[in-house]
Amino acid sequence: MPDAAAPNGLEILDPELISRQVREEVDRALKRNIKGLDFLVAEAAPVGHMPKDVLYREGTAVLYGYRPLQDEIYRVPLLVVSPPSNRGYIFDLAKGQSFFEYLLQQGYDVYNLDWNPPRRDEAGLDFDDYVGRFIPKALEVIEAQTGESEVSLAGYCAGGTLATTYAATSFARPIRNLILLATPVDFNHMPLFQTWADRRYFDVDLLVRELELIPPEIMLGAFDLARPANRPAGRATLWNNMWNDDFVKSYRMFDRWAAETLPIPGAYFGTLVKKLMWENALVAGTLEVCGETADLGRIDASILNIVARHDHVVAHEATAPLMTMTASSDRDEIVAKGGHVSLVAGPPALKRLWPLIDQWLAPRSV
Amino acid sequence: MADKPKSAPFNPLAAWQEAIQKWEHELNAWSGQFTSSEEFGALIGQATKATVIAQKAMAEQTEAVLRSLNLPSKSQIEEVSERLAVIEDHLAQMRLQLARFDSSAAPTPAAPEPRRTRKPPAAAPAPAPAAGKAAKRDA
Repeated sequence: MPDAAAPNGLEILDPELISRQVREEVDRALKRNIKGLDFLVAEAAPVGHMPKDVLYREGTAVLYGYRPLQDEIYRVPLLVVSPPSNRGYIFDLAKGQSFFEYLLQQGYDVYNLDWNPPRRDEAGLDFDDYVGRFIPKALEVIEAQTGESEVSLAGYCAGGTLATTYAATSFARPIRNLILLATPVDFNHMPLFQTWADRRYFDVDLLVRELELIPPEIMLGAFDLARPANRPAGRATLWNNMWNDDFVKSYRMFDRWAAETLPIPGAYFGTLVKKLMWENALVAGTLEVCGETADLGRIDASILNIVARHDHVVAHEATAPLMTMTASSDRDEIVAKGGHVSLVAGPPALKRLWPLIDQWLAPRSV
Repeated sequence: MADKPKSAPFNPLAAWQEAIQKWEHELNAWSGQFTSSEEFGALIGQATKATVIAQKAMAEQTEAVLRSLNLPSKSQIEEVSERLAVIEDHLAQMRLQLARFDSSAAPTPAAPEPRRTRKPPAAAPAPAPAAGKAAKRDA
């Protein structure tokens, strides 16, 4: 009988079902081999979908203004700061998979402070430059463009740390909303990085002196050691799904993004390790930017803190001071399913998280 | 006798995928324990230092060989590339300034600017800040 169960719980043996399954698997195996060859010789996956304009460029810093999709947009513009070690196109991978496309469709005026690979003569760029020069300049350009002095400031990962630090300075322009995605603030709760950059063994000065620009392999190596099975398991999953064009397209875009991790300036890296990692200076209130102390207690903008439940890079605890040490009287937190990158890309974010961000931000953007 | 719940037909690829996921979780969990130890910190610190010193020595040797062969070295090509990047940067800045000049000289804008008067949909709840308010949601 078709629905008789085998002793091990597996179903035996509906010939028609098995025949259909065999046909399907043979078909997929053929597609896997044909498409597998295509995959190996394919050029880099195209990324970046929404039309945008360069509004400001200064070495590594580049400000993009995205063209609004609606005739009527929210008053308060939104500036998203990318992490200096990653390309900003993760926010705009492809049609239907783009955070920026979603925001533009909802009627936001979206800007992105993104980073080109720094040149060797930019190895001396430090927190002072990112927080005290590039972000203020981007906001100045946005004000000139829109006539609005208030802004919603957002940041992802280290971009969020830069945005938070800027908001914690006395020279910060008026910030209406602060939206932080997987943003480390309390670096005592970054265990992998704490072990990797253990001050007893990690000679950060040697690295900065000899390399000037810190290549991404330095940090990616630590990630790979912490999660060594991710790459081979990812490849195996890709092979299983090689017949599925949508899966392969998505995989190739993420793979390109991961492979295009940027080097970072040595001076910035030095401050990141010595001040944030070793001294936890942002929480301790000892981080100096442009000669003055960044104070989380100075932040009174509405805050939306977004964390991923299975984030192995930035733990929930590392973001906690955003909810406890800031002066804001309007703070919300979203804990989303998934990992570090799934906050800013991928179908689950589009279906579940981004509508929540819109729901939070819309009434605060008029 | 009541019907047994119908179990899913055996799918070897799904089983293979499941096995890979299990292996991935187990190996990552084991590695997570190792990489949080002080020994790992010492190891990675020393390895990073040794790699940087070795790379520097290798780069110097290679540079010397290339120079003797009258060929450009990596650092020289990087230098040219960076000078090109500086030129590109300046060109981009000039283009931006020219664009600003053009738009201020133009009698009418090419396309109407969107109105900044959008209101949230009626269903969206208005923010209700209260002292010390901190809400948490799952997505």
